[in-house]
Amino acid sequence: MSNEPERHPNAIHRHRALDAIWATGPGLQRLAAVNHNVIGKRFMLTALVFFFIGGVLAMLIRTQLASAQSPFLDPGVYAQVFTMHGTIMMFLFAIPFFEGMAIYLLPKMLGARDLAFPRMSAYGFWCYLFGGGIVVAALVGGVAPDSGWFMYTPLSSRLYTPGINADVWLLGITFVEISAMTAAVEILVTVLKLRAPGMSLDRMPIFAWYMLVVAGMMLIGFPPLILGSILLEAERAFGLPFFDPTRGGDPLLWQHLFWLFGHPEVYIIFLPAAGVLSTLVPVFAGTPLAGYRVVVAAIVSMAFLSFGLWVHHMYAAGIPHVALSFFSAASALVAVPTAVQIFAWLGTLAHGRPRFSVPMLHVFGFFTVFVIGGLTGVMLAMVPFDWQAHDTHFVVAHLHYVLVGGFVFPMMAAAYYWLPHLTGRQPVHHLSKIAFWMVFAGFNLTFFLMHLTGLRGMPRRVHSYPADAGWEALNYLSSVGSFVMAMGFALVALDLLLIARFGRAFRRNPWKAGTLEWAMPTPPTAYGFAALPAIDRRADTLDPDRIGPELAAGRGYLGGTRNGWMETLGVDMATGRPDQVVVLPRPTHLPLATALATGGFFLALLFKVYWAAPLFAAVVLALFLRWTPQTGLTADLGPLPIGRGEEAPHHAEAEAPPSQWAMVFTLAADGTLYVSLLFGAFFLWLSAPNWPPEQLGGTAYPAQALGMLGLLLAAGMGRRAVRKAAGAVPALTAGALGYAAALAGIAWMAWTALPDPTAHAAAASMAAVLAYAGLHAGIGLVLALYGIHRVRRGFVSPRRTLDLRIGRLWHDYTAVAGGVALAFPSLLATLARHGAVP
Amino acid sequence: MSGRPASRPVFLPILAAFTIWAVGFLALYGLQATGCRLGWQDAELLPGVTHLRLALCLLLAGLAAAVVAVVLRLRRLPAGFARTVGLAVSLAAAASTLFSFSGVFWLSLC
Amino acid sequence: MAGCGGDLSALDPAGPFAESIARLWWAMLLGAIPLFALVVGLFLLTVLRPGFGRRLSAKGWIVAGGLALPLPVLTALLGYALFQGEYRLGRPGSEALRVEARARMGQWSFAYPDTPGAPVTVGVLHLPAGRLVEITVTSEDVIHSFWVPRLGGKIDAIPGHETRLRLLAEAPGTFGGVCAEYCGVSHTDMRFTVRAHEAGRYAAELAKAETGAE
Ligand code: HEM
Ligand SMILES: [Cu+2]
Ligand SMILES: [Cu+2]
Repeated sequence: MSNEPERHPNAIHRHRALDAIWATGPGLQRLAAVNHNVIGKRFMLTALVFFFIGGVLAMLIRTQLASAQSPFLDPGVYAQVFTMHGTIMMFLFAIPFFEGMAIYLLPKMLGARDLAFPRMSAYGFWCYLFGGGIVVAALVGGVAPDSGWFMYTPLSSRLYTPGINADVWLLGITFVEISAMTAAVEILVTVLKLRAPGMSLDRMPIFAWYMLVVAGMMLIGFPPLILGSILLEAERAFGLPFFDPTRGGDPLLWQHLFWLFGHPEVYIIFLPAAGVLSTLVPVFAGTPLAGYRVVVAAIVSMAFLSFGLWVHHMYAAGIPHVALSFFSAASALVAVPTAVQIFAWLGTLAHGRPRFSVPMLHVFGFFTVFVIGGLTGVMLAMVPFDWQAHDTHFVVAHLHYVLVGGFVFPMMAAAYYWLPHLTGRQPVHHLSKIAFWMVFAGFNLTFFLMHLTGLRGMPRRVHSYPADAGWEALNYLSSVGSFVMAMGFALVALDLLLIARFGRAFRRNPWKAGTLEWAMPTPPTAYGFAALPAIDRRADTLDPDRIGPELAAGRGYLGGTRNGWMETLGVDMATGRPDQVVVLPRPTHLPLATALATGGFFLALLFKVYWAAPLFAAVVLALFLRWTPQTGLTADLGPLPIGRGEEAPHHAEAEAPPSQWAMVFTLAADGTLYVSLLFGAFFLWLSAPNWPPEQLGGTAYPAQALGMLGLLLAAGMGRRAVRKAAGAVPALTAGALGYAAALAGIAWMAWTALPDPTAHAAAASMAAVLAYAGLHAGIGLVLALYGIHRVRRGFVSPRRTLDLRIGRLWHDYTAVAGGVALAFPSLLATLARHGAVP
Repeated sequence: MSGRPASRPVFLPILAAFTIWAVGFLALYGLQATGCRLGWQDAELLPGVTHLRLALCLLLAGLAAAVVAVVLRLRRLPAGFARTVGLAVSLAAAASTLFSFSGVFWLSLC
Repeated sequence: MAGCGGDLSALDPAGPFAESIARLWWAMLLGAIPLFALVVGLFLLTVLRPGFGRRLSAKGWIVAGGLALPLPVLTALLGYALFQGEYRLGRPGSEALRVEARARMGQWSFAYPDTPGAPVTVGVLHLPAGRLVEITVTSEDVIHSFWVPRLGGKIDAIPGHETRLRLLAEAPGTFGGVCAEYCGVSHTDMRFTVRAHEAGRYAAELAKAETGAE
């Protein structure tokens, strides 16, 4: 192993050397791909397949509704069709599509060679593919979810949906959400740590700011949904009555958990599209984005506000008016940061020399359609109006104006804009314009009329309607419009294929953009940049035509190769000063294998082969541990030259390497899930009928004390281990013993102080909280043992304590969360006893 | 491992005020629901002012004070990205605090 | 207004609550049209007429359009809407006539605790015209939503909970009602009828009302 990089005499030589290191192999090696180019494209293509399936379902809906009493679909099938349409569009199309786009674009825009955790993105992709596959297989098999895309319980409970339809949704979508969580962590760490030197936060291309905020929102937004799905599946499978009003549960808890995710979700979908607009509009205006800092402030504000309006989906649930007013006001207020962005784009256009071209046509589509969606959104935010419009076709119209205007049109603009990057070919406009106008006209015909249909009283999710209600002509026209739109989408697809196949080749930077992704060969090489640039200004006002050739000539950072490592630079979050050389893992089949095992776990639950689920979980754990030998160092290297006369340590020796941040963010998501669970139990006490329970239980002081002491010991020893570094084995052994004691305490507690968890939601909540603590203690135990293993294998030295520091984060969190968990049953029992008001 | 990076915190100024808003949101909503559950809306302190309303108003005042404190603290930062963006976000949070919660003064509570 | 009628049209109100919401809708629609025209018009002007709007600084654009334009509109609108919501919710326990609505898959049934001797009616809700009615809604199975568009907004029927809705039919007549929350395969057909009788004849009409499903 050598610290000195190997220099290359010319660009061709350099390309060969880098390509040999970075490229994905042929044949079965493709299944081992981890490169962001490959994974990003796979995400996007798969999402488009799902968009097609969802679109076909939409056409079935419109065919059914074209006439009043259509015999085409029976009510049961219709329910599957609209549920799957919504589910596919939201979970399997929109989110994965922008994830793929971010995976593909972010490293390039940031001046990095790949994402921070390439194997994780591959694993996320397989989880997405398999989870989506399960859901679509259920559709083919006629047992698809059928309770609507928000799966309200009790309709989705065991009693009213006895088949596996609801389980398919709960398990399949949770499986898919693994990919959202991995993408969130991946994007956060990549944007924060893997940038070109000199790219301080305030020089990041604006798209990176959008994705940073979106990833943060995903980190906080998805856990409530995942929690809700776990709880509902636990109710369906094991009878824990979290949502069953006859046993102290509450269907409203599901609505809170779902919409606490579901509304931010809409902004999670919109913001990447807005990021695209903030990138494209300045390029076509020929001037930098106006008010960069104001836009950053607007998206941060929007992110927060979007978490304060979930109850606007529950205005009709009988919640007190003052509470509704909080949510109503926040819903109205979120229009302000939206308007700020819209006027930033208008201001940019006003101060530039706009060129009109096909992407701009879709930007026009965005402006018209999204503004209507935004205006109807403000209307729906007004409580009294929503009391009328809620659950009607007015809402269907509104949500499509927002989603198609705020996502599909910008994505089509993005497709036309970045297709040259993906394929190296430039548009030849034959079909593009007519395709756009067909989508645009068809869309408006379909959905504009639906506002009126809804106000005239047509509820959503009905498969037929009385002929004399006066809705037939409107519905018929909507259906005609939808077929025009479908043909338009087909033309867009054809057009894009033609461009990819027959477009004109170009040299570089066809749109005269100022971002780094154009400073590389197109279609891109696996390694992207032959050398990493130094950034000295805002990274959307660069000159790719100048930077590109320089980088190809190896003038920049990491222009050589070293030990066959896949290297990219890590920087200080705020300043962008390089602080480590991040060495990325090679292609491997492990992500695929791990995802298959994960799929086995979910299938075991789905088909109720419960004995197999823990086995698969164990296999997943074992496979994840197999990921690790590739990472880390067994000897201290000291500073490595990175070019331009500078040096930086290997990430294993760095102060804040990506994996440490990944653990911080993972724990943030985990903590959100936990807090949602605790709040959920509190909510049940507040709101659910049939409280207090007959049996309270909740206290077993010796067990609680044992558990807490064990956790404290484990955390203390985790800290000691970091100080001892290579001599950490005794501390880690003591930590493992602490966890053993903690697990014993938790089990003892569950045994003696827990009433029957199927009898009442209070006991079920206690069981859930204890299970959470037990799971964390179990993982903590594995981490302590893993630490011992890494020390023994020589991965740890005073300079290289990363493994132990990651462990310490987990042990600290587990001590806090577990301590709360052990006290929680007593607290809940006390609340239930004293707050027992009629 | 070279010396500590000489960078100032960037995210704290940007996130602080709205984090207070978010925590305050949950606290107000939780307090309102708890108050209704425990019957605090039935005890009147002054004519028309129930215990619950008073508690909510006090909580709101506390929140507003905290957000304003953040704004004042940020004004002392040196000029730059963190200050500009932080101030803009914090002013938005201050406005949002008034805008979203002023229902506690006059709307029906339970 | 033409094209807005129908037995279930929220735009053809037959009572003060639906009326006030319809007014809110028309006001918002009137406000939305110029806002829409403004944004799209500005987009087209800036793109098609280079140089348009250059006199206003970029910051100026953002402040004018992003803050000065929406904030007053939203504040006024929100205040008005909350005021209206308060009006519709009213205070509990006022002089309203009490009615109980029970939902179960495919069927609504109504009980009349304030009208002694009245039967439980299924699929038909009898109301006195011109009198405020407070309907307590609940469900026996899954979540449904009670909606009579011409009289006022909807309220969910949630198992384990009781929700309240106040309605007032101005004049005698018949109005359509539907279940608005998806509740299974019978959701589409979960309709009911509201009959508003002249106040004087209400008790008599109710007494001879049929119980069974229609
Ligand atoms: C391609 C053109 C599309 C058409 C013609 C279409 C049509 C429809 C219709 C008619 C409904 C109402 C079904 C009912 O209430 O009975 C519906 C529901 C829905 N659509 Fe679409 N849609 C389209 C695209 C999209 C897109 C792109 C998205 C999201 C990104 C989307 C998301 C939804 C959702 C979430 C629902 C609610 C489903 C439910 O009620 O459970 N749709 N769509
Ligand atoms: Cu929402
Ligand atoms: Cu229904």
